[in-house]
Amino acid sequence: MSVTRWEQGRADIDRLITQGRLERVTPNQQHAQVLLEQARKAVQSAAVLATTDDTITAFTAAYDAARKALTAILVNQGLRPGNGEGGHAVLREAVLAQLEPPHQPAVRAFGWMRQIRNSSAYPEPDGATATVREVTDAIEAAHAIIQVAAKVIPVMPVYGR
Amino acid sequence: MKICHLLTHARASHPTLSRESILHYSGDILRFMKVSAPALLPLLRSQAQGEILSWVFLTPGEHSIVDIARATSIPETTVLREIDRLTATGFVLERRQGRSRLVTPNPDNPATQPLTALLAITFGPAHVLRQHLANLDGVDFAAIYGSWAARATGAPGQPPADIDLLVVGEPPRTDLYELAEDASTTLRRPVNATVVDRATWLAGTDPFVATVQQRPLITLVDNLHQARGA
Repeated sequence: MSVTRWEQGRADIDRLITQGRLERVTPNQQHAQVLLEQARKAVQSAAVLATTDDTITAFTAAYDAARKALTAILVNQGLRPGNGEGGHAVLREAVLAQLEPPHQPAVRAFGWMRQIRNSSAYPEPDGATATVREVTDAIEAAHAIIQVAAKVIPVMPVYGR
Repeated sequence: MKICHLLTHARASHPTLSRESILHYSGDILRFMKVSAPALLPLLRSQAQGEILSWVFLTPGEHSIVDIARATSIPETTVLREIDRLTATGFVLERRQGRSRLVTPNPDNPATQPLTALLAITFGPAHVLRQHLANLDGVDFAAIYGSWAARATGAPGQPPADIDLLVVGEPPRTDLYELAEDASTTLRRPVNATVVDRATWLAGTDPFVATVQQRPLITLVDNLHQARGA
């Protein structure tokens, strides 16, 4: 079942577009499915890497999986992050604003994943990087985000119609 | 309102009242208006004074009266009065930019460093984060570490741009992240939370944990210590 106009979170999306944090692109459901498939592969790779001692790359793969799944939701609607700073943070904000509460916990997890991904990808001397436990939690969180994306992409209309 | 105005006003509206009884009433009113000392640091005269001081001493950069008033939600007149006192006594330096007065802590005042440390422990992030953490489950121990903790415990240097928060235990990750986001908004600087599980913290061999344990910490929550003592 598909709806013609998505009402939830419209005010937030309009604000993000006005602020330049989101921009409108040609909606592309096929590309959204390609991104979702890449997300599934990335989370599988994360699970493989989780068995090695390379926790940082394992975590980064799980994070990428989640990021691509969220990007897929927006691409399907004809939206993408703007060019400025916070291009990853806006993914969480934009998707969260548009989803009903049952889907929200999965997407909210992207917040802590992003923080750990940043401190692991750009580590400071003596700073903390991703732990084994965080990799396990991130893989679980990425699976949940992919599930949400797979569910909502077929039913979400192009933004603005 | 000054007493003479109060007296005139009271006499005009209540002509039968004696001067003594009016002064008695106005004394009561003044006693009522007297602000109480802040619980966080009762050495100060008022909560407003503490908030103005902590904003000036704990926030990087120069601050205009308008900025301080906006950030602390304290009337500009009150901010102006406190800044006048701090300038006159050499606690802050000021320079003029157009019609604005821009103030910074006076680095040459020997009281600046200990005052900054005291404010950071009482009015600063420690206070805000303690309030936030009180509602979070699964916290065995929490502390501020990194450059903020170093500064607050007396190491000289510029006010740090962000705050490193350590949480030992198994708090819900999303709740902790969102708590840190809320605290970032209140404190106007990023709060980065790092979680370490209890066993790793107690073992103290992980390189990150070992470094953190050797450096200054401002303890926010300590259920580990209580558990050990029990």
